[in-house]
Amino acid sequence: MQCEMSIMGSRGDMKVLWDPANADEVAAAKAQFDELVQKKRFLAFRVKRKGEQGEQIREFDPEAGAVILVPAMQGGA
Amino acid sequence: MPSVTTDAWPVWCDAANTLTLLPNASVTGNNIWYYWTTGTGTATNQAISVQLTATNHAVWSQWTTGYTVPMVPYQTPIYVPLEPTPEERAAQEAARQEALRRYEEQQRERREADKRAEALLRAHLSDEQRAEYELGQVFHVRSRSGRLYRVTRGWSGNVFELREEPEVIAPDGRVQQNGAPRLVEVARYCIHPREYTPDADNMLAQALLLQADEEEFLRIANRTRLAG
Repeated sequence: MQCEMSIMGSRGDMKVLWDPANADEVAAAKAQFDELVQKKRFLAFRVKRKGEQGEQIREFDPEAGAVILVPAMQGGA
Repeated sequence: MPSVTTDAWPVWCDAANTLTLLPNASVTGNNIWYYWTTGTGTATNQAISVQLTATNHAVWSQWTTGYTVPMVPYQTPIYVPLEPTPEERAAQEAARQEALRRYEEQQRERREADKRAEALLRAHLSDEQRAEYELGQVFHVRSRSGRLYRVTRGWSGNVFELREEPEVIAPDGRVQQNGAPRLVEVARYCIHPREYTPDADNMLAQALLLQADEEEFLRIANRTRLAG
């Protein structure tokens, strides 16, 4: 099973893929997740397809399936 | 060069006025300028800062009468652009081409980013939301609390809270609306990522937060009340 993490940015989203059975890939994905969520205050949402309501997660889940990382939000003008 | 041989200066200073000029000097007679030009006479001055008080216009006429005073008429400076050398022309053209290349690359990157964002958004919309979006670049989101929101295309002020007004049943039993509730925009919210993202990514982020944590969405967003 392939899991993916879509990280939103100015150039569109960047995909990080990992196989839950591959420890190295899991570790790399987790490191990136922790860097963005813990340090840069990104919001992480575990999502399913087709608009089903996702949930916000704060810890990396190697079995998450599909995760979307959104830069920290702010109120605008 | 033009010259002045008559009383040009009298028209400059009124004979009836005492005129204090800068630099200043004390003048004891109307021949002070004559003396000044001939090297004789009396004048009180203070080195370079000369104190000068003219009591009538004859001072100037004495200065100018009988003498040719070269004057340099004021001329508006004429800018004569220098022709660039062939090397300068080549450098200018190279800089122009580089600027154009950078601009086109930025535009291409922007188009690529928009395309990626559109694909990500569409992959996470329901069939109904996707149909709405393809029709009018908007879609609706129902939060866990049951409130309905309209997410329109844009970066800021693009999320609207809706009030659903039920269908109205007339006294004769007829439904006065066409069966679907009327949606009234009651508030507008402005919330977006701190870093720039394409519009479609912004809309997806707003929808995800609304669905997962409406309270946080409302805490962060700037709200503008619209309808009563």
